[in-house]
Amino acid sequence: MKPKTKRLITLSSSLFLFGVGCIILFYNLRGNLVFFYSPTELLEKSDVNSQKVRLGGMVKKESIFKEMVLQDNFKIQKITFVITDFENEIQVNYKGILPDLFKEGQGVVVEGNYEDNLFNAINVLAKHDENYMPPELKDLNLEASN
Amino acid sequence: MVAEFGIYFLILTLVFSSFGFLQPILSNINKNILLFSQEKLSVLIFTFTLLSFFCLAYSFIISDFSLNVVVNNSNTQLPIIYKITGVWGNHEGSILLWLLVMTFFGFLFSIQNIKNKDIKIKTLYVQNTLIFLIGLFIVLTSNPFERSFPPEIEGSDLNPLLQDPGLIIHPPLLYLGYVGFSIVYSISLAVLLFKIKKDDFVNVLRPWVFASWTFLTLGIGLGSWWAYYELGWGGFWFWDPVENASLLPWLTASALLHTILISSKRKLLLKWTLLLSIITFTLSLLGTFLVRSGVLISVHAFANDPSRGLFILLLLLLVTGAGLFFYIKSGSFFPKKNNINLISKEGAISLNNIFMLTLSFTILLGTVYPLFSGVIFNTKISVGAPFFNSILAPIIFPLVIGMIFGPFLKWGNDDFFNLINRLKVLLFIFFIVALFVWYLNFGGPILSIIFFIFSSWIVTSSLFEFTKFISLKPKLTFKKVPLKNLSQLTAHIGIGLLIIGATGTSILKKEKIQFQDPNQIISISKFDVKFMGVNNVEGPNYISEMGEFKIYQNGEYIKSLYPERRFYNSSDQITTEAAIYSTIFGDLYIAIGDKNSLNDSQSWTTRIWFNPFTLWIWIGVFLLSLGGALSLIKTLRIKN
Repeated sequence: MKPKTKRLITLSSSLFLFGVGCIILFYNLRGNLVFFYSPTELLEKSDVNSQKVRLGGMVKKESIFKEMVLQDNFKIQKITFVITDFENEIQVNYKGILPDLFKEGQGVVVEGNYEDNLFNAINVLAKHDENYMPPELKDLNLEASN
Repeated sequence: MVAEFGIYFLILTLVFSSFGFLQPILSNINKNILLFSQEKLSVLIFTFTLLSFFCLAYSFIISDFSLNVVVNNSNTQLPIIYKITGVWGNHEGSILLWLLVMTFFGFLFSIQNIKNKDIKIKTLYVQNTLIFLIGLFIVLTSNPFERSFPPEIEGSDLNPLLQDPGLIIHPPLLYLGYVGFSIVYSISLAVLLFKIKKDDFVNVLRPWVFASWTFLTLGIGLGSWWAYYELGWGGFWFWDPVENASLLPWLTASALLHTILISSKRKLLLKWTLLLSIITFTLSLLGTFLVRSGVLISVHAFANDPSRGLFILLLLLLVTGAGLFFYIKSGSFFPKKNNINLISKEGAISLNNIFMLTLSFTILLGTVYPLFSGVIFNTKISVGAPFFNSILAPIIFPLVIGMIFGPFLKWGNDDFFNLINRLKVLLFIFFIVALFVWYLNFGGPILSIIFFIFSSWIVTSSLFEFTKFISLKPKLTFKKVPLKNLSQLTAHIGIGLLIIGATGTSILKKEKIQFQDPNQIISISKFDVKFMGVNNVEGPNYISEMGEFKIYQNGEYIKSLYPERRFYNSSDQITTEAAIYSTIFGDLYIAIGDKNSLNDSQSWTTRIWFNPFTLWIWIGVFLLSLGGALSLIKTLRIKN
């Protein structure tokens, strides 16, 4: 084989592999994206059933309600609260431990499924710093309406 | 007053470092101008930055609340050690630390005995210019000595999460790694920019690559360890953007670490070595940009200022642009003899490079994709851990196979069947090991079994190679074993153990969350965990609810664990302090939540994990950095 042909084959096959790799990658990426919505945005969406999404907003004051439920013979804590962006609100269900910085009247981001007007949270995302506000929440301009 | 000295020293640093680029420009105009010797400049610059850093540290120690950073990140109640670490527990101070480390590396490089004076001087040109740019960044956008007026009486406290022994050394170590690559970049750019067409630059480069890589490994490991026991989430890696940002240069640096073996031994892939050096430092800077600009949602984000992000972005573009521009411009630099056989040591290392870079590229994509989609599609998204986990597995397998067989390949040209023939015994051992692992793990998910088999293969093949090496030279005493073999052995075994630990902790972990009554026993794995109750305990600047748990195994009492929830007086913040009982088979990990407020019961929310083999992660990281350190020692023994 001429060196030129050899080089062409090497080049085209590596380009091909690279292309295939990229396609797999993007396909994979699309499948694992988690979208972030405010309550208003989430209510407008109709196609998010059973899809994992994030919901962010403010924990509505005096909306936190805790009860004890039995699951596999263990007592666990079930928490319901309301997330609001001061236009619309959505009720959230969560079983487990809340992060240390979870408080009413403060910003929060939850991750889970939205079905039948109820948000079942799998995760309540913790913040590390009481003054820190995730950029996705900042845009909602919560401070102004507080 | 001290603060004024601090800014004064900082400006001196800026002035003197500017000769890094002024000198070559001026001497271009008039050959006889010699302003300063670059070596002496580096010593001066380091001294001034160190003095400036001391001034800031002093302001923190005496709680000088007329400074903004001190007010926002310190408090009189804070124990002295955390007053000191508070210096780098904030944006301004940590960038000053970054600068200090950078000047420190410049200083070390300037006193190193390097035969090729040309490379040395020109590297210092680049390094001092980089120092100038970072110094400018500090003075213009992040001055740590900014006064607050009127002075406050009390500071608002250091973020309680940062008040932890792990955080005392995590940032400095990580920076030693990140910033160490600035020297690697400077050497490479100097070679390209000033057209130093000699292949001995590789020997100048080597020790700095090994040193920085070792520090970066330790830094990342410590950060992961801190997250594991301090955050109370039971995991060690969360695919947080900042964690990813530290992994990116680590991966390319690992590629560089292997490539440099080829380039120094066989004088091959010389330009590739230069490119990897440039990419690695670029990724270090990118990491800083992602963390400091606040464009990504991350646990490390501090309150941000957009002008800083813009400055770092420009700096990033400048550094990357300069590197790539001169790389492309230099064309074919060294004589071309890049004929590498796939079945050879060089071939294996090249494959290692390809996969390391692929991994780095995919993680980069997952990390910055939300950024682009935010700008382009105006959607807010995040890329979850499942993405990273799903791309990690297929890329890690070829890497591991390369790790297992690569060390047995010969330089230059090897034969596949010949290799199989040489490794007959090893392949048989592999078979036995695989059966054994499969037997032990019967019932675990298939992925975990595969990972366990592969990682134990790494360990066995490394040991096999080592014993074979020793048996070839019967008179060899342990002291005379070449460091090269020893460093490869420890590092590769380290990776093996790391994979075992990571697999156990992520795939096989067990979790139980519940309300637990006093004296109630929760069984997890082989342990019985009995809840004894909660006491209030007072710390130096916090009050803590301390739970007591008694651990039993087979009915026998082993020890008590005391997880806490701390309420910090001055910042109204709560932190969870997990309690961990570590064994080589796994960690028992306990965290407590809040008291059951629903009825009058004394039950508390408790989280109990069993994380199999977590200890192996830390041992693996230790061995990895030990391997790096051994390579460094070996390299330093070779005279330049």
